[in-house]
Amino acid sequence: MKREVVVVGERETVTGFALAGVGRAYLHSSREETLRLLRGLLREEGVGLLLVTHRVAEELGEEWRRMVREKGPFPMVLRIPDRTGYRPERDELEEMVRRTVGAEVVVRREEE
Amino acid sequence: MMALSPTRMELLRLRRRIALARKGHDLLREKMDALVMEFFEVLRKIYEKREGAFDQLGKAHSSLSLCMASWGTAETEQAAREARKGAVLETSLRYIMGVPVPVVEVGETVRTALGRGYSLHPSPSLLDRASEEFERALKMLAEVAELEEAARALAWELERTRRRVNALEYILIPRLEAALKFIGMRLDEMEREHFFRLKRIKATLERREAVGGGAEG
Amino acid sequence: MEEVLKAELARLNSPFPRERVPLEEALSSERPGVPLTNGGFQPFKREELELLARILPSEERKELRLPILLALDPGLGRGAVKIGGRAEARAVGRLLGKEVKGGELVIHRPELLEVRRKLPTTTYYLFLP
Repeated sequence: MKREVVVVGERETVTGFALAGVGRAYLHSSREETLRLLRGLLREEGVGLLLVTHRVAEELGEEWRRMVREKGPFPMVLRIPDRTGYRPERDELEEMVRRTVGAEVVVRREEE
Repeated sequence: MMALSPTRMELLRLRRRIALARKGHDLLREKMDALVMEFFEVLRKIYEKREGAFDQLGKAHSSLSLCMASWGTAETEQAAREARKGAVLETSLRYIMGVPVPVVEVGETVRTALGRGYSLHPSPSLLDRASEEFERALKMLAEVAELEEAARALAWELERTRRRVNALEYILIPRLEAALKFIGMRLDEMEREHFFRLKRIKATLERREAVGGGAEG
Repeated sequence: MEEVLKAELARLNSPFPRERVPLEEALSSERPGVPLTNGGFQPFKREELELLARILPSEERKELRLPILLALDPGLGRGAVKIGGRAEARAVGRLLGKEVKGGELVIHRPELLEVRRKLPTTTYYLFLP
């Protein structure tokens, strides 16, 4: 099934991906507005990939994290750096490892 | 504690339930182990690809700043509005131990200058350069997204399976075993009582026979 | 809790491939893969099909059916995986550089990882009760 790519971020991110052919590139405005937009996008069958900058995702906070946790395989959601290369200190993946697998397996992985 | 009647039937029933719980535990533990393996495999691939994708995005942003600085921000944004749209992914699902994970086929995202559909001919090379770098980044990011979704889904299933394994191991199986032990003991006790009662009856009968002067057995 | 367990065990092999197709057929298919019991479709990656075709003699390409089932059988001990079927066992054996005697192969965790790494879409887990 063909699904489209959607981007939500600040001006340069939106411009750059529009140049690359992304048809729906939304400028982040306020937390409420963007949350409403994303809630709708998560329900759209035709959206395959949703790119959101780390800075925007951080501003959206726990509510956005919960929305991502509860969604199905599509749309895929990926947090990306913005033009400044900003990435938050807490790495989402490391946290996923700690939370779901627990210390015992992390140790095993280091031994491998 | 569950309501138990100390009968042979109940004993057999409990043994069957314990066997089922143990079998289920072993199967789910296999699933848990395999999920851990699959999860770390996906994680390894993410670490392999993510930095490269983010670096490419950084490069794309540099090209874009350059373009905006020398050609103009408004002009660049105008070109972005004009650019031909159609970034789509061919998507499907596959399953890893019942867990649905996305499959993405990312075709060629890099387009020709003409394919981008700008109104300017020829388009400024800085604009083409920026577009191309973002097109490259898009493809790499889609691949990372596919992996991150798989990691998320596997992690969720892993958490759930581990909860089940633990519940079986630390709650259900010990509880059933305690019940089995309890019934076993009660049955033994009842058997002993029964045995002693029989013995007593026998002794009484024998005494009566002895008093009555009956023949020896 | 036992109801939950029963539901969980019923979920183990769901969805499952509705059929298995010979490698040769998958190679010539426009959209290689198999239908699943839930109405879904398990796609095969072409590079995996080509890898299998490279390591198998042509008569085994007809015999090998995909996806290759990786049977997790707790009866064999923790982490043991059984691969049934002569062509399937031999294909996996060749992938691992292992001699296969008879029509069955049992592998363990590090080998399973290697198989899954090379054949992520053309192998499928099967839980044996």
